[in-house]
Amino acid sequence: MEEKFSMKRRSFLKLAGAAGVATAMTAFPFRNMRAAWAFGDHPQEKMPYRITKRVPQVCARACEADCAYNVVVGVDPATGLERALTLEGRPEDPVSNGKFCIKGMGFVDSMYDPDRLMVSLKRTNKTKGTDVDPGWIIMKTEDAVNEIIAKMKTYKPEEILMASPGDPYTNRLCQSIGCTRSDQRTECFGTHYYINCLTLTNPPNKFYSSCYTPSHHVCGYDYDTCKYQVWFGFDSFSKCGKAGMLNHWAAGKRNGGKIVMFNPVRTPMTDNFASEYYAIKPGTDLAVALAMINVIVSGKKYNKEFMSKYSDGAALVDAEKQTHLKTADGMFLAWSVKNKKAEPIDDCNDPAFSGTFTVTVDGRKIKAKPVLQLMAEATKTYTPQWAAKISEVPAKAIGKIARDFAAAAPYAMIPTYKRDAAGPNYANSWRLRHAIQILNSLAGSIDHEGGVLLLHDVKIPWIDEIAPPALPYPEQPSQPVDFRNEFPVTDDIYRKKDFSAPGHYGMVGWGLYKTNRAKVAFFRNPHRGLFAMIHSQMFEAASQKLELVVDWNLYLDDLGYFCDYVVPAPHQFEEGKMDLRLYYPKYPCIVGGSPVQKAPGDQIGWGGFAMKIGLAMAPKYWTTDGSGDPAKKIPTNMGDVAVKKAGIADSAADFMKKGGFWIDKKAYQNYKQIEQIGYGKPRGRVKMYINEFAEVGHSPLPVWHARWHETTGDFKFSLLITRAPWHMHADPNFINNPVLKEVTVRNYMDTVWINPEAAAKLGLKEGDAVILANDPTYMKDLPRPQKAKVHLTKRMTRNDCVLLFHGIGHRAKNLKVAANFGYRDGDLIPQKDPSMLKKFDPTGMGWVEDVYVSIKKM
Amino acid sequence: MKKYAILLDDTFCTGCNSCAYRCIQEFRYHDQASKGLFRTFVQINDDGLYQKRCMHCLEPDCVENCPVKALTKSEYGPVLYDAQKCIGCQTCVRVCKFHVPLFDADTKKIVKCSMCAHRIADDKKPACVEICPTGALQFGEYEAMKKLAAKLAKEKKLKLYGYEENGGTHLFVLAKEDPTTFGYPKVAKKALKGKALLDGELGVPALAALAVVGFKKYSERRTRLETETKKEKK
Amino acid sequence: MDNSKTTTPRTGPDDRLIALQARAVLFNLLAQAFNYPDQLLVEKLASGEFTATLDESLGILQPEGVWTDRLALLEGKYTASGQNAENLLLELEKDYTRLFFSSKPRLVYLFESVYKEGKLLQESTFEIARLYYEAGLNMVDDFKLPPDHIAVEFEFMAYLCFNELAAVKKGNRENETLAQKLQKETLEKHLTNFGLALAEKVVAHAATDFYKIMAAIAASILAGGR
Repeated sequence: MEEKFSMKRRSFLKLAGAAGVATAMTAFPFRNMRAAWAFGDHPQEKMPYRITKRVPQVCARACEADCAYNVVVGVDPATGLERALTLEGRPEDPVSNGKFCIKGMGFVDSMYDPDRLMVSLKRTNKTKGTDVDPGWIIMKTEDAVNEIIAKMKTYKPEEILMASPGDPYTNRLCQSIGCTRSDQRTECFGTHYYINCLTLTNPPNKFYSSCYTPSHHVCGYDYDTCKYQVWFGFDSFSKCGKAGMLNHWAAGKRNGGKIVMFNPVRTPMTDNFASEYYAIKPGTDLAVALAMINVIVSGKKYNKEFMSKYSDGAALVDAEKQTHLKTADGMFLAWSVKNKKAEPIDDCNDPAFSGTFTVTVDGRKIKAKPVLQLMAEATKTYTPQWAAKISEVPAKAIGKIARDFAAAAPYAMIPTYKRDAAGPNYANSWRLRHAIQILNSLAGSIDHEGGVLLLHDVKIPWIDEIAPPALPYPEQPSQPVDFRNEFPVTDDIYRKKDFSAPGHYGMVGWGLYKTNRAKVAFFRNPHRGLFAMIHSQMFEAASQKLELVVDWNLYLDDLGYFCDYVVPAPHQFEEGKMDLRLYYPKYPCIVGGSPVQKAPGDQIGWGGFAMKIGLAMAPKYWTTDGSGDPAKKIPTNMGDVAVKKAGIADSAADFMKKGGFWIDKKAYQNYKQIEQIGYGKPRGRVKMYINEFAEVGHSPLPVWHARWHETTGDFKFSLLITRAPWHMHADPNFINNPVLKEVTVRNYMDTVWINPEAAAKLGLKEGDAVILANDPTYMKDLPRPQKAKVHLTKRMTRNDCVLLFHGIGHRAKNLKVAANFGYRDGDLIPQKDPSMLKKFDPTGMGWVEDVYVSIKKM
Repeated sequence: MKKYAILLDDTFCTGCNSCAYRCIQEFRYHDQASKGLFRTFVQINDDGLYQKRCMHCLEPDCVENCPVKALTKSEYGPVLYDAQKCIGCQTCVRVCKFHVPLFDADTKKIVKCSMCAHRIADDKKPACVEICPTGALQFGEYEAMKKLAAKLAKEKKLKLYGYEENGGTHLFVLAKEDPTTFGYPKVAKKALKGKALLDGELGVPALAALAVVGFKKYSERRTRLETETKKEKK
Repeated sequence: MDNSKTTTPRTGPDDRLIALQARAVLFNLLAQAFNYPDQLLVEKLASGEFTATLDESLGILQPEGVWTDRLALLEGKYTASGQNAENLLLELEKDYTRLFFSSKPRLVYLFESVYKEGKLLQESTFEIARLYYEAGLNMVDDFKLPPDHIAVEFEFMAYLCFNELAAVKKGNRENETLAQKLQKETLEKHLTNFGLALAEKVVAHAATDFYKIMAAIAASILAGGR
């Protein structure tokens, strides 16, 4: 071709000379195209304009269910161009049962969002801020990555913050560099994760694979066959859209299961799936849960088999030291009623559940009590009448619910995850989460069909398991910017047991703003942006003093305006996947996804990016022999190992060729998994008594505690937050979709919801513009009141709260649809002051919604 | 010729609008939808969920009044719309008692559900039904759906809408409360009567031919849309 | 900047060839202008080559508008002594990035499908890629963005004009017809509407004279071809 072009060029020049056009041809051969055929020589075979293919994919990041489905793709065989059109269900998937939701479909269209970031951007104006022109210029991603790495290398590990979920690559990276990893999941799953760890999952365990799901669970719930459920704020608007769960809730309803719902908001889930509904006072769910424990324990209505065999209900606790008594090899002790002595719990056939006993250990006489006895004492005053006064739920109802719950056991459970009342919403949420774990234990529904199902007999390994580090990792920073060290119980899990544990993201802004601990912040944060951060004002203010801020993202979102570099990430459908069916783990199952298309731009995948940083900054840990030789990169083919180990394929590619789906539909073996992962040796148990809390001055069993603070003056509306069923944080995948915006507006989900009576008292009418503000006593730094419109609705069943929708207000003004849409709820939630928080919550996760706001007509 | 109907059990709906979005992807009318022109849409109202969509009446006013026969009642259920014939007079918008046809001022055409006639011809359920995560939407033969609707209404003490409204429709709605209290329009009930067309007075070959026409219309849709777009651009 | 204004439109057989070349050259210059700016572009601007070539081709094609002053402005800016090439490039880079990638709200989109269907990689993308395919062209591996990028469509037009010219000269009627057919389809179904919409926005929002002027030229040549 080169020759042909030259010929043309000469002839052109000849003619051109005559016309006086001199050097026109210098740009040839063309820059963006190449001639595969000489002009006119192309065979022009009549290829069909479009063929359609189906690419298996797994949903991720949009909700916990991770439905498997096929992406329907139109392909032009001539040009090789492809375009996804819609989804098609995979009925064989136990999670989705062939269904998918509006968000999954939204992902199809977001691949073609005109605002998605396709190039790497570098700031040329040093002044950061939403309304400052960053003077972006475009760089080749490869060059940008090299520049970023060269700069990162000039900082000490403790000066670097990786804001990232604990995926296998990030874990390896942060551990090998020795820098802090912290991510936004704190605000979603923190209490769930840590209470699960401390009572049940006891990491590291043989199945645990939290990185493959966004929410750190090893469990799912058997809604299909459960007979009695209690939902504490579990029926949020966001749940209304989760197809992977909705199909199971529908099955449960058809099977005659009952659901009791406590929520100050009446959602469509309440309308159509609740057998009983109570408009509970916000932040008081703990009182009801404690009263349920009181009724069940005092009435001895608990599942005795589960209490003696699969939990520490009978385990003796040193009443003074607040720790379990154990044999030398770590087995709990129980009091034998017949033999009148303490025996290893697994050998004890008639353990006492109540009483106080004197046990001699190493010649020392110890006053010991079984955990159930301690629980009876701890909850003694928490009667339904007591709880009714606090929660405004009738005492009679609480008593009946507790008894019905116990009667339906083990087909009775309290499902909980993410941002329900036991999520990290209140300073007392960790206590509620603990109480729920205890109630499910009292019912014996943990690891039982019709209850809480545990992942089993399947695993995807971590990088460290297929490529163990050649030498021990360096120490993590002693003064991390997220203050996690101030919370020893959770810090111990992060440092020693599971590096993917949620970080204390709710304090990152505080740490950046109030200290100089970090100089570099790296957000591996596709489509979360600043919105994922509560009180992002602090980060925004701190960004100017940060010397290097990098974002790896699918969009240039609101975070971008505070970054020095923004590097484009592929869309989730443009990556291969391997997933365990964590949210309905009734059967061992693996499902895979293939890239739907090549990313349309200069994107870089996270695995490749992390490997580059690792090889440059901590080469010893990223090469097989520790040599740092790039030719000896560590293997990262976790998917290959997973399918090979399961004996279902030779490699991930082979697995995908076979359809990318495997399931072993054997019957669920009740209680088998607890034995394998729980506490106590050699048989694992659920540990209801969390001695780790006692070690830091908190109660090892849940006790009542009110919210962080009471209402003050005009600040009398409890701030409730939910999401539209089609949104996810301020994820531009959905926020920047004009159709979803229309659906949001038509359903008033861009407004603040308030009960009509409460509104009348404030003189508010439908559609009025209002301003929401915080009490300055509780938000001392950088308050940012929010402007919004109100919607008066009877779905708000109480007068003491307002409902905000998370994930609408977006300050990424370059996003065509999302720009300036709605308000930003996160601005009304103060960053956590670590010294204050640790007095309330040893997990450090709580208080996302522990806020009262004022609401005034503008 | 089989006749079809959709049954919506509102007591299983959660307002997720997956049906709405699947419909948009099926017919690729994102632009119209972003202007609020949905063929099906769930409005989460205070007292219930109003799923606004074509009822596919047995005796559709829109068909009767359309001056250019752009709307036709198919013998298998759906009320079909031919954009090529449509002159944009909006008579259907005015006469529909369920307030269903929406007028797109940009294309001067109507936006309305076709019950996925093209999919029915292909032996598939309508896209919205296939996707509905809770199975609130069901699709089947008209008589079977009618019977099921009546049975469920009786057994579960549910209110039934679309059964007799406007002389009967091909969409049955079941709800705990009277659907007109949460958005569905109040439409006079008329005794359900069999229409000649539905009773099979037309011979089988004629019906089959009609079905083919219905399907062919869809395959021509793309070309039609392109023409419309071009017109719009000019 | 000499006699372009006074050049009379040509009508003879040779004139047709010359006009074809001028079209090819002009589309090629437009392609260069709407690619991300690089060192080479700035060098060509600094040497005066870019503007001189532009001037010649405009002189031949005579699209509506007065260009001499505007080209003189560009030439003056880029060929002036003491100019720092690095700064000139940075100025273009920043303007290009702001216009097409990061403005708040996004001012101009580079891809045809965004104008037609509101999204990336839509039907129109498939269709224009089919035309490239018919001409025997592929995208180079280094080009990773969607193929309905404005610069690629200009580049394609340049390629077709050159090939029409080659075909005419060789008497290859088949190729001549093919080249004409592809140009017609490209312009009528794609580039004219797309290019005019894009150019209007660039003229309105560009901070640099370079982009303002190149967009105005693009608009004029496309409007003239209607």
